Amino acid sequence: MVIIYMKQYVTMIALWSALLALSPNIKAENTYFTTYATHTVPPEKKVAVSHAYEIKKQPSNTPFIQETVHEHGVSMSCATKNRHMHSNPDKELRYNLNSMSTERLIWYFYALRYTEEDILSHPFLYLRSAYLAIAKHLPRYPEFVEKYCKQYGAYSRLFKIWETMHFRYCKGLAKQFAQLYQECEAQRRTKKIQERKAREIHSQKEQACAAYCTQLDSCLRDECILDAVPHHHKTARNSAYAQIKTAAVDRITQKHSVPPDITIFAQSYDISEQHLTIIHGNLYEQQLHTEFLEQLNEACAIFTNYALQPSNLLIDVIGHSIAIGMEANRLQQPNVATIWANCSWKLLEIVEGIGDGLLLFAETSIDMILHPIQTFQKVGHLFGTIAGTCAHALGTALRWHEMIETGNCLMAIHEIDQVVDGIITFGSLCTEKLSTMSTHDIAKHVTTITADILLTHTIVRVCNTLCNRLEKTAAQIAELLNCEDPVLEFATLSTSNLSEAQKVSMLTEETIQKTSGLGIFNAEITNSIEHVTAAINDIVPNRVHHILTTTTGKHAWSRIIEGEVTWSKVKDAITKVMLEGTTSAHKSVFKKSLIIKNEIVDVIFAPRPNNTISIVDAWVRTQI
Amino acid sequence: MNSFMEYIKVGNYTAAKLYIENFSHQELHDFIVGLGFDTGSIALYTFVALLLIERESPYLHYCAAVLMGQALVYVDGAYSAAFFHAQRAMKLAPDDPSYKEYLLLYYYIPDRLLSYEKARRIAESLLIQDPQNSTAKQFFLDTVEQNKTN
Repeated sequence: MVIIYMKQYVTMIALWSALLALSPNIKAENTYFTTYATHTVPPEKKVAVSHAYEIKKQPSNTPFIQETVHEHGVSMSCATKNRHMHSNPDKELRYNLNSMSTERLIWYFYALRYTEEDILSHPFLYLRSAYLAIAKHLPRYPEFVEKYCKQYGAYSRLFKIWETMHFRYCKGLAKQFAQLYQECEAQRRTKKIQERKAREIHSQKEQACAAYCTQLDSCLRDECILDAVPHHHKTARNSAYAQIKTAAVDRITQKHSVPPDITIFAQSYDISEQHLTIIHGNLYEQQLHTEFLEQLNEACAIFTNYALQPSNLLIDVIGHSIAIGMEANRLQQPNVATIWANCSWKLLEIVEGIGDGLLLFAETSIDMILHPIQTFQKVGHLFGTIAGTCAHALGTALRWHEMIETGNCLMAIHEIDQVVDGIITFGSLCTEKLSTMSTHDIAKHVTTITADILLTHTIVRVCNTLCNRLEKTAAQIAELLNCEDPVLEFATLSTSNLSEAQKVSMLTEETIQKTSGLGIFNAEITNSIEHVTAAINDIVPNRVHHILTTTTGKHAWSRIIEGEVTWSKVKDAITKVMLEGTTSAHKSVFKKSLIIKNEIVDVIFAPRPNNTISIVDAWVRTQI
Repeated sequence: MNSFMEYIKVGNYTAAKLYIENFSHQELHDFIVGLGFDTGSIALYTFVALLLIERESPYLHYCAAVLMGQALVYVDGAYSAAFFHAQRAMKLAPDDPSYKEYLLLYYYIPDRLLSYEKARRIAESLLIQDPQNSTAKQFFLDTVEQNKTN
């Protein structure tokens, strides 16, 4: 029986071999055997794609194949395609897929426009590592492995022999698929664990983000504190907050460049350079850090421009607020950092307001000096108003007393009610006005009033001194009340004391420039001997010649210089004027004037963009 | 900057104009005046004059005035040229007090291009526009001071 069966088996093999030799059209599952057909031409040179086959295989390859083909630089021109259109469609079957490398297999699948299913439907190729290198990248690979594993796993030994005889099975195929299936399962389990971990991390991140946003919510809603924060920073904060809320953005490290003067200023508040320049945080924390740097910059500018003492209380408060805020920001405490950032903005606004208030006070003071008569008139009017108001109040009180005494209580109560209503309305108006005023304005006006109260007596004392020295002209003051130009006339008459008054006013003007820090040019530069010396040394010979006017004497240096007029002497005079003279501005050009030997010397100079100055011209004023 | 001066030097004003086409008024002023101080080249004035011919504007007149009146002041007649441009700038922008302030400078120069009467009127108009104008106040104080010293 066994012998008979063996004979039949051998006959069948012979028949199949004959069939194989005669018919090359064995397809699909027969690939394993058909690939034994030799190919003499390499596939990249000879591509056989029939028109019909091409249509059948639409749509084209998987993305992996396409990408890999492009990576390997494999391309097929239209000409090549057309040339092979007329080739034998079955020549593809001569290619021995079993001996192809991974690259060639990729090229083969690409050229024949194999779909994912087409590629994975070759169970015999699963025995080859070159093929597996491709197949494992395809999404449906585990599905096909499972399918084949189940299919071949169910084969009985006898059926395996039968299938082998029909070239539908080969030795080790079931084992290979079982192994591949185990691999796939292991991968699937690993992937599942990874996904679960990722979900857990994402969930933790979301919870942290929610807690973070809850912390921030209250800070971002407090409009009272936020009103001091510049609008662009508010927008940036909200934008960063929205981004963090919607997609929990990871923290990143960012580097900032900080100027040396800011670094030194920050170091005095124990903020290290590293903490200034490097910030590791999310978008919101990065934004806060930017704000802190800007605040430091402003505080440093105020400190420098207002020439404040190193122990200035307000600047110290701002510096320490910024330091605490930056530390909180670094320790990822957004609510604390936000509060300190807001606080610092508020303090900066107040300090700037105080600066403006001082400026306003200085302007008022200089106005008082320049317009003494009007000032006296205003003071008189003020006293009159106060006296009138007191008298009116006293009269009203007496009237009410009389009304009550005469039994007209109802009328008295009605009038008192009206006054109370008026006071309440006034109070409401004041509150309303205060609510509409910015902190900056409140600070400015409060400072002005405070400075007025505290320093007016000093100003009055100065005025008193001036008036005492104006004894000779005191009698003529009354005549000036109706004069058209009291300032000019007053100044003309008070010739003996004018230079003092002028000096006071000039000093105040200079103080305004210094105090405000808003001058067009920096007073520090023009008053610095180094800058002035450098500017004088930079004067070109042509300009020196022009200033000296040796031929015409137009600049009249001989009025103040004894003996021969030399550049050295003129230079000394210019230096003196630049350092001690009073400044006046003519748009972007400036003039310094000083009385030397009873003559007015003018020096014209222009500020340069690089914080230097250029001396333009200089002369002794000769006539008006 | 060097390339700009090269264009000016060889008279390639088209390229020079392209060089400064994106400059703001202030930038142009700083650039031209800065070059004037550094190089002392009168060709810069020609370039500004060309810009003025093409399109007259107060800021270009002011730029020309500062160039001649300050940067190139040692050139004979520079103050006169500058004074003309300063007047023209004020005329074209009568509401801008800064041009008036600048024009007042020509009252102080030894050549006294701006007469006392004109200067006083300018100073008065400045005070009408801004009662706190320091340049105008200074003018009146200077007048008195000068009377005293004389």
